[in-house]
Amino acid sequence: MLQSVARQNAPSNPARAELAPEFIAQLRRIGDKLSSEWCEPDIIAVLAEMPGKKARKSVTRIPSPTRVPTDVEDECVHQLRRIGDKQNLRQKLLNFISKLFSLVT
Amino acid sequence: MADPLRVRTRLLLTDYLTFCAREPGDPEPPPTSAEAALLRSVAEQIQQQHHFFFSSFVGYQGNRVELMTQMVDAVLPDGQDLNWGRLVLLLAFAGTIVSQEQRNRLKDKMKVLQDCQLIVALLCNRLLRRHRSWLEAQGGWDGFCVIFGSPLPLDFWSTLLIKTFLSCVIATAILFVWKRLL
Repeated sequence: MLQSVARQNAPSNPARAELAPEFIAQLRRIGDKLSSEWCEPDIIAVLAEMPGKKARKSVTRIPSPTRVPTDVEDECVHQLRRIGDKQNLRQKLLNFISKLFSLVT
Repeated sequence: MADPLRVRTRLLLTDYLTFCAREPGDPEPPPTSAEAALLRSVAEQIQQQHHFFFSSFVGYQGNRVELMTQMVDAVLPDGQDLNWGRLVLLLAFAGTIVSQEQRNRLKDKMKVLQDCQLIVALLCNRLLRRHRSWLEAQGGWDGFCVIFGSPLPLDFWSTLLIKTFLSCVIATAILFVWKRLL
């Protein structure tokens, strides 16, 4: 629910990349909460807090790169790598069991 | 002369991202190759298994190309081991960020299609410049079909699991009764 609200409030143009100071502070606060033992539902809560709700309140617009904040990016990357490696191992295991089974039968 | 691997890779990625970027209610375009059909199926499984992670990126409205560039740089870095799991996951991620939750204006549709083309170009370049030798060693996209194309259907595994479980229960029950009688 938080995600859909967040997405609805998110501005639909790349101008969301211009972050107000209070948005940057919020992102830093969220980034500090992340740890190596992060789990998927917690990442979702973090990501739901991220987008343009705070950005809309900004009065002054400062130029900034269009990159996703580093802390959140690191956790997304960590999750992607973990899921990818897990999927790779799972597929190898399935293929091994299939080969074994076809040898036996 | 066209590079066959590049052509096949581009065709596969274009097929998949076009499939993902279609609007709700639009018919599914038929897959253009065996690996395209398999990629759709495998990516969907991964997205369902890790729904909590992927759901945050559905209907992503930010700079998709920039986000994809960051993810590709981080998940497929130079000189490090690549595996099919990571590659397929990255493709599933790309499919997620171009997917649409609702019907859009023409301008937004064009933007999504443009982003799809740019992401296809990005992934083609990264895969075929930095990881071409790995891809060729794996047998290219034929290797992908071998790895992920299950020789046995899912319902076979389900049936086998149920039979195994029932056998264990029956064996346990027989053992229990036999011990009681002794």
